[in-house]
Amino acid sequence: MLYLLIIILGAIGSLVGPWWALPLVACLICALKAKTPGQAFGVSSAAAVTLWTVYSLILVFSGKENLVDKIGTLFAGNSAFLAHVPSLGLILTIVTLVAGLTTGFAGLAGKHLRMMFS
Amino acid sequence: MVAIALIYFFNKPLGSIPPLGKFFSPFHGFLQNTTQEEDLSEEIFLRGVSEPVKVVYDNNYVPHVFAANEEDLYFTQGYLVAKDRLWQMEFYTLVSSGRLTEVVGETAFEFDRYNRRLGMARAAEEIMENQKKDEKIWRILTAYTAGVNAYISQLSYKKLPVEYKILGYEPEEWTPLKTILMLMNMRNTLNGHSDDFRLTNVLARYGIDTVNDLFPDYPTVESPIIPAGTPWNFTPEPVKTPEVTLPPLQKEVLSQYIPRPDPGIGSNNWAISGSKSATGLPILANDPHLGLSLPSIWYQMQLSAPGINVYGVALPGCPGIVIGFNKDVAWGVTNVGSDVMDFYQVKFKDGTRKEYWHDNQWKPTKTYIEEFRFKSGKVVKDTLIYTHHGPVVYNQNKKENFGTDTPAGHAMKWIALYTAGSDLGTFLALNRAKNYDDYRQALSIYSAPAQNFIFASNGNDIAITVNGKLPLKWKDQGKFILDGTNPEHDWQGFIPYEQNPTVKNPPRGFVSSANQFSTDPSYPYYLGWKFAPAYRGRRINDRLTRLKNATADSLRSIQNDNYSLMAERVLPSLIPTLEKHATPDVLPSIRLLKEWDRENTATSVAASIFETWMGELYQWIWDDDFPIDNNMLYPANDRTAQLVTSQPTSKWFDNVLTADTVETFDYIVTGSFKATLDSLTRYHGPMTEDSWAWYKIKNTGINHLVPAFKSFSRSTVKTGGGREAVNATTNRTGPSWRMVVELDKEWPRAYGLYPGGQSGRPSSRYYDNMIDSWAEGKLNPLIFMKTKDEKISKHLKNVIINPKK
Repeated sequence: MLYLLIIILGAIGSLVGPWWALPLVACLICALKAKTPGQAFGVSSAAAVTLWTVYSLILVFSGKENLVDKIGTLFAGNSAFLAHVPSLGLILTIVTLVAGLTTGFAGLAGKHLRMMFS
Repeated sequence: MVAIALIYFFNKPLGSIPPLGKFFSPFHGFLQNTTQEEDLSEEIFLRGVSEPVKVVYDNNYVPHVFAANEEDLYFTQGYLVAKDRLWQMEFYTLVSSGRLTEVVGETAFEFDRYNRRLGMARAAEEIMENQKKDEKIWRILTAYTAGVNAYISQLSYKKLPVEYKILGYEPEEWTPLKTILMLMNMRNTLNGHSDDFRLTNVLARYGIDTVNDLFPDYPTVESPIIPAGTPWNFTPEPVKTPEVTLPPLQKEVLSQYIPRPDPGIGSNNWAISGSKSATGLPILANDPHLGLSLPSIWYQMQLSAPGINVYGVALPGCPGIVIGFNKDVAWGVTNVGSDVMDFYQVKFKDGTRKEYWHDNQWKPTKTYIEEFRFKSGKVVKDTLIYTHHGPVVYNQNKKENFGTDTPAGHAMKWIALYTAGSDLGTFLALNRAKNYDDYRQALSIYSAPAQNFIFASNGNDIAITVNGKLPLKWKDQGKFILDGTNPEHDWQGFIPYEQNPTVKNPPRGFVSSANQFSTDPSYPYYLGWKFAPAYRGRRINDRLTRLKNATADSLRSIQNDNYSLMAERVLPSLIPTLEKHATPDVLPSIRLLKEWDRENTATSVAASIFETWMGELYQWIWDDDFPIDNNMLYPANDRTAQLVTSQPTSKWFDNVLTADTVETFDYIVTGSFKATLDSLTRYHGPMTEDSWAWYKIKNTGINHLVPAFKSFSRSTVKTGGGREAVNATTNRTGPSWRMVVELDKEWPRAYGLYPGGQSGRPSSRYYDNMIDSWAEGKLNPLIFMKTKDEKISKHLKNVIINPKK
């Protein structure tokens, strides 16, 4: 439930607002609904990773254009190791880290705020 | 706290890494850029047009704009070009105004500082003020500006071109000044270099006799742009030569700052008269050679409104068409290599540099403070001093200058800072020209960079004019550093427009140019001592002379001519020497050169050997005497060829760095040849047809404007050609637009393409879709519509732009 709510409201927020609408939504929902700090972090993080990954994959596979390889190569820079990682893998790793960490901690913060004031 | 810190952290650019949160959010970041292909819907509403505008896109993504009036036309041009090229056009203006540090940071500081010291932004502002006085041009400039801004105002982060997202900044509002800055960039590219310091160093070391011998004012072999024998039907203006033409000589060191002329920047154009064409009417061809880049420097479009219907290429950021054609005429440009950047040795009164000595009195300098803002927020200031000549480009505090503590500087007199006239006005008038008289009228207001304007009309006229503001100079004025204290060393005005070299319908049945000398020495004015080597011009003229019943395809074939006249000139003198001293390991290479048809085709191995060898040979002959690293320059290509072919006993073959031996012609030729093969083997492996293929050695790359964006670039494009071939493709420069137009009484037929694509978006299929055809030497038929309702076969979509209430 919490998971779906973050995904749905987070998606709506992201469509109309800035990128940090998603952690903001997670923060608010977790303040209201999350049972434990652990759940707040875990579910927020999972929801954000799901939302960003799925939407990224939709754009990658439905789009007529490929920018993933070019951006991946750009981010791999001169690193010999990263050059061997497929671009999509590299991009999705960064997507997971950015979305998972910010939204997870935002959810956690929401829960903690609630606990502080109640 | 951690959450807020993370959001903050991912929202900010980290050094050269973009803001990760925004950039990787699929709702906002780069993935949104892959959804924009069909971004323009079939009907849009914009505040700024007064009547509906119809835009027909053909399947090469070229817009054909049909507007009811001029304001709507140029508004739409601005809007559409911005839609495809916004990041690029803004980037150019940041370059010429010296503001790159604001978007890429401290690494661009020296580059910015140099561009500010050239004073381009200040001159651009004055040009803009002058344009305000011309009501017609100003209306067009402001309409175009409004169109660009209409596009910018629609952008949210999500829709920004991906370069903005990567570099982490946002577009500013467009202004007419930015259009002028864009043109200023062209002035700098084409006119912003000088050999004056380097040649002065040579003069100081070797004296005037050596300079006259090795750096002469006219080559031994030439085929000038205005055919020899063309009469000069005017009385020339008097030009007074001063008694002393040189400043006090000293060791100059500023040359490290001033770029040397880039031999890859140049162009070809020609037009044949009806007497040589299959149709009985002229055919015109043009291919400007510039730095090859992605997004491309050109943008193809058709612009139509009552009183105008023109097709060609525009510069992103500038209204109108720069090279193109309409129903009646076609025109094109190549660069004039005249000397229009000079340096004056300035004598300041004291260390404050507030006054300088000129015409026997102390005169006040002007001071400007330049402020550089770095991406990091840091601000750095730089003081720039102007004399009446122009900006003091760099100051060198040297004890030996004019006494003990009086600093010297070099003030620059540069045509690019000339602010009268209207280059834009010339192009806008050519867009509407109907005949030869309109062409001459259009050219009269042009300033810089001087161009060889070629012209053909369906009235069966062809013409070429060496046009722009050409300073009136005494012979060799500005060949060396000039004396800034002597008023006789100032530029003495300009050659009157009517006296600029021009020719109409010459008896030989064609006009042409390839950056070579404008005229033979009979022209009464001095234009400069060094122009592009004559090889391209001679080859073009040879082929055009032989031409009969020509079609557009005959001219296309000349554009792709890979023949090396340089090889034809020097190899017969070099190969016998090689053979005389040949060892078994070099024999196969010598045989290749001997059997070579002298065509620089993409797969030729002989071309790789020859071209690499010429670089090596030059260095072996000249670098001991005129070291580039020591701010000198090598004698020109023609003089070197003359030395090699007819002066084998010259003292210049001796390497002065080896005191105990005297090197000979044979030693230099065989030694440099061996060194060539060694270096090719070292970098490309042993000689095979594949590993030493010319296109691999030449390695033509078409890079993104930010070279670090390697994945947005194309490397090792498979093309032939070379610096001195008509197909002048080098590793970083080449034909940036190829066009051939067959004039016709009814409707012209035209062909063209450029090495890139219409879209500036790296993920678009129209980003680089023309590169492969370009490399193969093909041209696309250009669709020139008669009316907005004409049905075209290669149709992509229509867009109607309606006025927004």
